[in-house]
Amino acid sequence: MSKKVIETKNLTKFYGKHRGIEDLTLEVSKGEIFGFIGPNGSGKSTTIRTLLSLIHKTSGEGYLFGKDTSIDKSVLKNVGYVPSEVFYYDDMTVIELLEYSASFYSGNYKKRIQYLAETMELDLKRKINELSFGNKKKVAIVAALLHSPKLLILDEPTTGLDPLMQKKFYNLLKEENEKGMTIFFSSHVLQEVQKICDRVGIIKEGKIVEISSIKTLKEEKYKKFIIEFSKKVNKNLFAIENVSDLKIEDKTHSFIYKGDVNNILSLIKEQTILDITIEEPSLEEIFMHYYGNE
Amino acid sequence: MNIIKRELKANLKSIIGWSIFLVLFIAMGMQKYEALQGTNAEEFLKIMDVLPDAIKAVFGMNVLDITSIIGYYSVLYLYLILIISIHAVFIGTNIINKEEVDKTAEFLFLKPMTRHSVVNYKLIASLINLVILNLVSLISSIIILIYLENNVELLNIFLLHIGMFITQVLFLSISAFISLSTYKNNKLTLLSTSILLSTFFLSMIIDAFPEINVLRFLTPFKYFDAKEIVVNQGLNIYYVVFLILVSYLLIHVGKLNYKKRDLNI
Repeated sequence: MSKKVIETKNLTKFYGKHRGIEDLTLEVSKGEIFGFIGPNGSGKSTTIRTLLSLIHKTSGEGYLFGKDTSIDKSVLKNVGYVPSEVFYYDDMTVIELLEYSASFYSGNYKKRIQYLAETMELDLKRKINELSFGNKKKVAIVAALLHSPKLLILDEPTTGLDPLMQKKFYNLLKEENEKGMTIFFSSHVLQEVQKICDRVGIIKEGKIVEISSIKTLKEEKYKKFIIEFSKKVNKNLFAIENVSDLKIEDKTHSFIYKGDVNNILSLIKEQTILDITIEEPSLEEIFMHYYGNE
Repeated sequence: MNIIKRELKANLKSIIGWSIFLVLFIAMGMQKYEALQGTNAEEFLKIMDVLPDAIKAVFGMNVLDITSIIGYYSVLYLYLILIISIHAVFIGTNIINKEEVDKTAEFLFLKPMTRHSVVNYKLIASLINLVILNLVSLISSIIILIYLENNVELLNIFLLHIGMFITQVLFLSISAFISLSTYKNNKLTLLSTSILLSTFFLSMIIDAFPEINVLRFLTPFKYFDAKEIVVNQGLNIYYVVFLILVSYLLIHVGKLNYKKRDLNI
């Protein structure tokens, strides 16, 4: 089996004239926890749905375990998926739905369902239409994990879960990952991706703008500047490439800069400075670098 | 098999409701036949005589004795086949549409199974529903007709229900074709029902105006006309083969379209 669990090459999806994703190229290796991050509407769900062939690509290539799911559905035996919005058959109870889900895979999953339901504190006897959004999300998590897939695809999985449950969920993911499960974690919340992911892909307006390990992303030459001048200076002083998140408050300018700090120092050498702070930005602030003022 | 079981269970209440309605419809419809017997029949025929020929033709009174039990049943059959076809349209429209409207398609189509297989299982479940309703109509018709009159030609009832079943399958195929081929699915039931009603009224217009009889091939209701089945005591085998072929093609092309299109999720 291919070591690349997910692989896309110039994957593109247009809805008529509207852009979904464009020229998206990424790879996720076996055993990796890959964070896929971007704001709403950036193309995260489109990428997942195209990879799973719920919708068809316009061009490019997309593979799971080296296979195109629009041609070979058998690969889905090894895939679990938690969608961002959860919709199930309202006339079923939780256990009926999970048994129905399990019936598509060979094997007996009763013990596994019990274990996952206990872990996620899910009442199996309740009717689907009586469940809150958070509880439906728990059903989705159990349904996605019950057949112990080799690849778990998560699309905003923690929305609706309280912090305590989120923690249990992260522990469950780590436990499954240690057993060899590859996880593709799509989210617009950077902190949760930061908590468990090895690498992260940042998507903006349908295009990948950065793929990096969390560690590298933090270690890269991103610096946060806070400079207090003795008098008001030209507000366009820092209107240069690679400066983002620029905020001006009276005589104080703060921003994120990616590059050689000497470039900034040369800009301010003729100014009188009262105070200057150069520090490591938070991951959230780095993330903002890619999105400007969105 | 799991999809078939799920579909049958999900449709259980609906099929029970339709069955009760159908039995009541046949019982109440045939109850009027009892009232027609004896001197009432002559009075009734006198009233009917006043009706324009076009109206009489619509009800088959120009070729059938409406005071006979099978003649009377043939008039009722006109509405019976309409009701049962509406059920087929609903089943066919819902086959995929419901999964997309209720947003459960994402759950179902991520299982390791081709879209083709999912549709096949759903079609089998739909056909079982059609057979159940057809059998309910057949058995209740036989019981009620025998209750009303001992001397009933059962072959006619069987033939009428075979024709009815093929019509059901055709409407299931038409609505399934629309459901499988259309991405925007908020008005599919309306579209399918409009096709059904317009072809039903076309069949009535053709009865009233025989000069446009050439249009009969456009309406499924004219392929198994009760009047013709009863008078000829048989089904036109060419029509049977033709409609089965059309149904197969509709489903086949529908499945190809479905494979190509995005799921509406």
